[in-house]
Amino acid sequence: MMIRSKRLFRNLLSERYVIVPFIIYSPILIAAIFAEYIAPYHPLETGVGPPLSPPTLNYLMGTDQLGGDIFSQVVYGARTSMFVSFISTAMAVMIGLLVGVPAGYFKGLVDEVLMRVTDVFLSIPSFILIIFLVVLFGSDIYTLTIVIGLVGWPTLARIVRAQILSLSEREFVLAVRALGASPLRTMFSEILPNTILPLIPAIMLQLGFAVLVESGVNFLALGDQNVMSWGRILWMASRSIYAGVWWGIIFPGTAILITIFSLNILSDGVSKIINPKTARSW
Amino acid sequence: MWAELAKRAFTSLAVVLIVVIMSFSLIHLAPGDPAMLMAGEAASPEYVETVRKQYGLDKPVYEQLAIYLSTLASGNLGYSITYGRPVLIVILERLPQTILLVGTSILLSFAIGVILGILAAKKAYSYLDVFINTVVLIMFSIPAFWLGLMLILVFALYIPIFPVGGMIDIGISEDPFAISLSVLHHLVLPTITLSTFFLATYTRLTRAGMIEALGMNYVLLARAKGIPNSRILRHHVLKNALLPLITVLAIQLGLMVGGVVFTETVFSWPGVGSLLVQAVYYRDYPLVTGIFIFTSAAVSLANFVADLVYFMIDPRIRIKVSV
Repeated sequence: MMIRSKRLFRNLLSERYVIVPFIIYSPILIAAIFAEYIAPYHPLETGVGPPLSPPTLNYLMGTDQLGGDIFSQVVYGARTSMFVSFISTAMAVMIGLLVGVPAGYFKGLVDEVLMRVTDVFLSIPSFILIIFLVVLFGSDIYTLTIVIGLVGWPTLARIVRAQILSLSEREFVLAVRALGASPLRTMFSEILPNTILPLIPAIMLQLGFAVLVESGVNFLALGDQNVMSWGRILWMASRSIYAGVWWGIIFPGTAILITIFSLNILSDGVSKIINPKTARSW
Repeated sequence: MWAELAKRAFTSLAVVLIVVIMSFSLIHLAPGDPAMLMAGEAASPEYVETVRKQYGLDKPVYEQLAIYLSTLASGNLGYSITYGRPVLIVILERLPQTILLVGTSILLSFAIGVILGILAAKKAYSYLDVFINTVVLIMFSIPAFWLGLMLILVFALYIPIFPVGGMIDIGISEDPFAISLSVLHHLVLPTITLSTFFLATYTRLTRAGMIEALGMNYVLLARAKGIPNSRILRHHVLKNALLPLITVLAIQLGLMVGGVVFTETVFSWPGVGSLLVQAVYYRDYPLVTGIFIFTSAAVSLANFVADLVYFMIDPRIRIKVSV
């Protein structure tokens, strides 16, 4: 196992589909971690400069109509985006495992019931459900994070189930069972570790979805008023678009694009490495 | 085959029923008075009391659910205070505009996506292929609301060749031709916005399907028989490569709903998506709930129709299922 994971790690590093997204994503990662040191102003502070100033040396990405510094807002927006997407995706993965593992392991009736439920959730338009939940339960950032996590699990559950179904028939699992390992041990030390890797591309897509939803909800001005978000900057800019305020639109939008784009390349790259045969057709 | 179709129909109905029960439970779980949440924030205290009586909100929960279900079953989605009309009518008035936008976008993205996919697959792993793949992956990653804003900025403000928003010019003549022309003119930017993501999906799927089909034995046989390449492509490869697109098209309708909300909002297109955002701003809860139930029902109906179409055009499934 050790040798295998080392080789896998080296494969990951040598794959340009993994390196490229990391490089283009790194500015956003750095902004999210070191926001306090990078941003010259507090992101929610208004009147730090003249309203609607184009980018200058003092205001690298210009200012909005209230005189807020867009550069600081974009920097802090990276943190919000990363917080919401990571936590909500971790939640979605957890629920996906909780539903997918028993379905794949016990099969039969349990599988049938759990998968019907999953199918129902899959066919509900997720964005409308999110808006509905935000309207009913409020839109502070923690609620929004939980809501995105609660809506995102069905695809992950389906992949986990399929993976466990196919793994439990494989020789190495049969061998462990024949050696007298308990079902729990078989599950946790043999089957589960092997479901994580094939799950990674789907996790990347879920992260991208979370980034999109977080900024989207804020773009509709339904988000948390106490937290800066890329979507909120875009919403502000959309109200002054007739004044030709391109800077309020280009910069936060590019940040969203870079984030989702690198997650998508990463998803493609990882599935290529895990599954060289089928991924070749992509 | 009929048994399978019945099962699918049953699933679609179950989705609608579960969505209804879900919205009922959520309204009761949410902080605040359920009667207020079913009347809307703009409602007068008297009207809230009327709603409380009408839905039996002073009775036990299971009786409330029964009343709620039977009210909905009769086609009554509630009453919108802000629009002063039943929710269903408000939604149906907005529906044709949304169908126009979604329909045009699906046709456009399907047509261009398939062509790009074929191009990429024919020259698989060449520079053209890599180029198409990269462009498509970028398109796949652009949020609809940002793309919409950028298009407005460039093609409505800097180079003003398209309108900023709306669906029709004000003060236009009654002439149907002039009206359609004006609508088409307003349709261009929203359609591009909504199509982009789906164009990317179709390109990728067509390419994957083509490459898989090209490696099949029947293609080898056709080649061995001396059938010209273009004919093989049209009659053997494309048919099989395009089949999965139908299912994906239906599944993606659910995703498309999100894109519709953003696109319609950015371009003030008078459809169901912008209606939802307005309903949220006015805290018109019955309208929000109604749109949630309505779109879920519409998407699951579309899924069922896609299954039907798939059954009709793919003989393999028909035979396999009936055996």
